[in-house]
Amino acid sequence: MKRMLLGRLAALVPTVLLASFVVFMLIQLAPGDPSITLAGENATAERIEEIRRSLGLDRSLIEQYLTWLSHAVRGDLGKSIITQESIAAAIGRTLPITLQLVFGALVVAIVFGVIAGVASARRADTATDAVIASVSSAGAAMPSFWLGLVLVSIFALGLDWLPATGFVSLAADPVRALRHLVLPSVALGAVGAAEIARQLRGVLIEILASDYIRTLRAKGLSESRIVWIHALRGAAVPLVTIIGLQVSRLLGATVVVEAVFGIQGIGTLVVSAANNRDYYVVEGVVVVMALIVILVNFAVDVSYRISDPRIR
Amino acid sequence: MYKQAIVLLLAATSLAAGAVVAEAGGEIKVGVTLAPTSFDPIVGTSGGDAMSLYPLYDRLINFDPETLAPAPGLATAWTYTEPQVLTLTLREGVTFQDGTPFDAAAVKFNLDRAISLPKSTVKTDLGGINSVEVVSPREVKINLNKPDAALVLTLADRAGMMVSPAAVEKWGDAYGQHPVGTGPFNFVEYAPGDRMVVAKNANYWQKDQPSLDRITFRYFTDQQTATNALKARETDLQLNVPAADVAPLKAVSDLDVVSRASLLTEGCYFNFSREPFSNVVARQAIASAIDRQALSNLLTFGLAVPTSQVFPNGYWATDANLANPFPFDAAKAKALLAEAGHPNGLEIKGIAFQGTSEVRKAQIIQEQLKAVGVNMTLDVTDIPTAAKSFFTDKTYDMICSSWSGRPDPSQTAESLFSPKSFFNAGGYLAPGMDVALSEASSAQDPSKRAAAFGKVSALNQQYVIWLPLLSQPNNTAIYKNIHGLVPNFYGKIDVSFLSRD
Repeated sequence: MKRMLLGRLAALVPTVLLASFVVFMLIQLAPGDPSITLAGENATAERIEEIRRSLGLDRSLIEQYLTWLSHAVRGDLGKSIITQESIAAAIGRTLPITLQLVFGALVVAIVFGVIAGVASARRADTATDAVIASVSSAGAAMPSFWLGLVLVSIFALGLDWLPATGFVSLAADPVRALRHLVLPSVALGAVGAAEIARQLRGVLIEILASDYIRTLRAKGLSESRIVWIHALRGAAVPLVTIIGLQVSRLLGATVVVEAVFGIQGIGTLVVSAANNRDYYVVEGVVVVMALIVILVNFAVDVSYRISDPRIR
Repeated sequence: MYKQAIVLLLAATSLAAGAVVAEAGGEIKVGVTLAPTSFDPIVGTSGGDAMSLYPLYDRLINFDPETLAPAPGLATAWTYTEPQVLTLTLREGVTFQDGTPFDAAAVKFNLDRAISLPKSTVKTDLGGINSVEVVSPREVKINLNKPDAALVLTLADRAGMMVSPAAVEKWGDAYGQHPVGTGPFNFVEYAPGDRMVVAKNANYWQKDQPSLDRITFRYFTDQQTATNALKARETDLQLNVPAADVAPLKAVSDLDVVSRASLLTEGCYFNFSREPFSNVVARQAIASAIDRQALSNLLTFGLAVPTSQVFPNGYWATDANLANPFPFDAAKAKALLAEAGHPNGLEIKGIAFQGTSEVRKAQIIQEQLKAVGVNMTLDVTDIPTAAKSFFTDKTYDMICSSWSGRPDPSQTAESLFSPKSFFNAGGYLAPGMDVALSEASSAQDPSKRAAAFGKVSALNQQYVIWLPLLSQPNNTAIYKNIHGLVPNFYGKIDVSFLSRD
């Protein structure tokens, strides 16, 4: 198992390299470059060309990529072309914000998803099940920015229970942080909750009809013990898989929710960088995101092996 | 008796409370949708920076908010002692926030830096400067290589924002993260794209100013989010409110929306490098095809004012007597199209910047053009792509966007009408335009300059170089307990001297 894990870890390297190469080429293929932005308001065509040359944008793409790579492997992601901020610092500033948001959304998705999934599996094909099924279909279909706007108009602007915008770090002030986190987490986590509920329902119905559950029932175990402990353990592998997939999805989806709630996370960083053709910021963020997604998948893999000894 | 005493007591306490309230102090939160691109004024790239920079920096020259005429700033007097020499007399008793004295040497340092720094975005604006001389601690001589009347108001914008020489020497390339000016507020912190905090400069040279202790700027990428923050009172005022939000925000209790004509003008750019718009008659046809009032009604609920000049009504560079030679007239548009060699209509390629209002504007114009037989395809893309495709590669025929205005009208006129400008796709020069432009920038007498801008506008109307459509008001939404808002023609609000109760 150890050798397998080391092998998987080693495979990360080419994946990240490939991702960085593809993104570098893609963003530079898009027309427009940062020199137009940098030339300011009263630009002349001559000045723009001068800036282009000074940024080294007249060199071949491969040459530019290799220069970037030679710095990146030494841990130097460079500076933003537009703001001059160190890219490592920019990521260090925005990533924790996004991770806190993703964490909040994940909690929402797991708590609501598991409760709804278990409830509908236990009452399969009843009215309760139908209600949960339709609510979760709606949840899966709802765009998170739209849900965010609805939540803000009800709970912030209408009832004045929670703040409409902004972000506070959990480390700085946990109470205020939670108040700020509720609405964006629900907006972002709703789709995941629906997804988990629907998948879990299917798996649990199958498990609850299986022989070993019948044996447990015959032994006189309480139904809730059977469902919450034994059946859920059986559903662990698919559950972990869905959660792992959710993390990757949330990292991508956070950008829209960040905009709705005025949160300056890594999603906002990469979108504004892409809009300004701030190439190295986009590149740096993508590499870090790719690393996170790959590591999450790796962790999911490892957890399979722990929860189900048959997978070796 | 008791009751009366209580009433009196209450009245006295509330009076006392009123007195406390009227005193200086407090904090406000300002919502802005344009985050600053740099706190180094001569490195920043966006016109939206000004609102975040005003509290930190004084400018050499101010402008009158009503007329945009030059007014005393850090320079108390400015005279062209010779046509090619501008002499500035500097204010006494001003120090930078780090204690460095503000004097002629500091001005020379700043202007030299603005001309020589490789990253400077004001090089073009200051291109007329040959050298800067320190005459005495209070007097600076700026030697020009040609008469340049636009320089005075150029110094009312980012080029005239004075930074502390000591701070630049201390921080070098990182100066933008540690800005020091002479302005009413000291820089405290900036979380990029999220917020900036500034605190009162206790040694500010203007007596009893500023009133506020602290200002927090909050930056929003999404307009709706900014509006939500305002409604939830997470901000006290919102700058640059789009026309579509004016009516809904006016309905919010305790909230005022202050509107003022501004230099921001909606209009269309043409590609002069190829058919059909290398032909002036085809451009005149487009000018005749657009119903500006209908556009204003659909796009801004009638708030924006139709205009055929690049400057708004009431501005000194605007010629009030100039009639539009190509007002909306569909029949004439068709006739002009036929004259230009397109009797059966015309296919053109249009492009628009992304963003709800930009796309709506382009679509309304697309419909209006269709009515006279001009079919415009429309690609929507982000600003760098559109700018590159239209202005550099010249692969489209027309882009309808806007022009945000500059403190001096020569900057606007040069940018839109000079063949050297980036914004002139194809480098078109209308007959007589070069003469009119140089007159407008070199005449010393304001009335002569105004007359020259009248000529520039008349030529623009005749040759349809940049097609002005609507003059946009600048709207600020502000809660009623915040006082002292001074809207200006420039459309960039300075929140430094507000007060609150």
